Amino acid sequence: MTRIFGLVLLLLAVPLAGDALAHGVAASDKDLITQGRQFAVFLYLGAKHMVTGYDHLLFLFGVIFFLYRLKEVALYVTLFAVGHSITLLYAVLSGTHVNPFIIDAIIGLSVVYKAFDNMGGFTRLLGFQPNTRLAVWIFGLFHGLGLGTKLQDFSLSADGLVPNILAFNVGVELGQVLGLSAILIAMGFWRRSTGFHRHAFAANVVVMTCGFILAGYQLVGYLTQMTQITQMTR
Amino acid sequence: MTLMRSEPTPPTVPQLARAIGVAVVIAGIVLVTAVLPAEYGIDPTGIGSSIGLLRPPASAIDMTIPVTPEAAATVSRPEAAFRSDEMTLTLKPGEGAEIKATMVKGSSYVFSWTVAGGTVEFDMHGEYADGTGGEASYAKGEEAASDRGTFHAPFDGRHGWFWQNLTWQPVTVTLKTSGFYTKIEKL
Repeated sequence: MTRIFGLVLLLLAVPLAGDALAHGVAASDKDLITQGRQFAVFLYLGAKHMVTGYDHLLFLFGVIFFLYRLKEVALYVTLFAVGHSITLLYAVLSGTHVNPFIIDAIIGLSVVYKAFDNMGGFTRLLGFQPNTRLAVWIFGLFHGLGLGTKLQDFSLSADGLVPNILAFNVGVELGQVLGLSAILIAMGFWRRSTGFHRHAFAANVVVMTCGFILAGYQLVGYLTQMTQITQMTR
Repeated sequence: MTLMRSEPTPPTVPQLARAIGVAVVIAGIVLVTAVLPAEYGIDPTGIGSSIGLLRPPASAIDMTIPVTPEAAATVSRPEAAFRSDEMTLTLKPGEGAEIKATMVKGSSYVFSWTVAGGTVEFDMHGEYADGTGGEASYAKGEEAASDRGTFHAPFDGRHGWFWQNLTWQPVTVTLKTSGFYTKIEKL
């Protein structure tokens, strides 16, 4: 029981930790970026983005909730990685800017989706479970658009652009592996306990709540930004 | 690929609906009472403020950059209230008239005057307030149709213009002033 409460507390504490773990790439990180190829810097920024992005971690937590084998985990992570690599490369190379609030709201809703899936909601309502692998891949596409938009905030130089994006991608994978390892270890302990199955439903309600909070937080941020822009153009 | 479910049978629809309802309600409460006050300073319930979570409006000014004494010296704050005035004078051929503003040393005004119907001869000058009759001239001109600029009073007194119409037609002088003086009058 104490383990479960510990995990639930952790889940609640992470979104409340505020700016220290704020999603996105911190402004001071811009100082790291100069010109040309910077493999280590972009690798680090990619990994940092995932490890300190609680929305990504929450999504991953939802994805691997019922995955037991490392092989399965690896497959899902790879599908996610392929998805976000496609849109990340596309966004940066084509200069596509998507409003980060919208993307982050979608990421919040993807957490809700995954929690609902884990609760057995689709099985009940649709009579079957939608393809989880396809869903992970599609959410990877959205995550990649957000990453691409944030990466462009660094006013990247054309010099060494593609190697830098690839380094960022590799960093994102490394960060995912790090984050997933931590989650897997915690989940491993939890699954061994007899309470796991009894509390899995409740835990996914908590995950869903966090997803709604994230989505609401980002949507209000979007509306606030829109209001400010309207006031400025008046 | 085998996916193990938490329960052998999926939950019932009412169970699902209740779970989602709980998630939405709790998320809404947390959003409105904590996240929105802390992140955006939006606090419709006042709870954020009462538990100290309301984010105060952020300053956009970097207070750590010092103001140098030289830079600070470019700003002066006279005691007189800020005011703006517009006055007109019509001068018959040969006639002259004055407008002067009463001000203390160091205070300033911005001025612009134009002549309609011809040109004037002018003398921009000041007279001391101490009654000694001392005077100082700042600018003079002939056949002038306009002038504008900023004036800084070099001493306590009345500072302004004497205009004279040396043409054969009546002219009208329109003067606009904005700045720090206690009185502006035709003399």
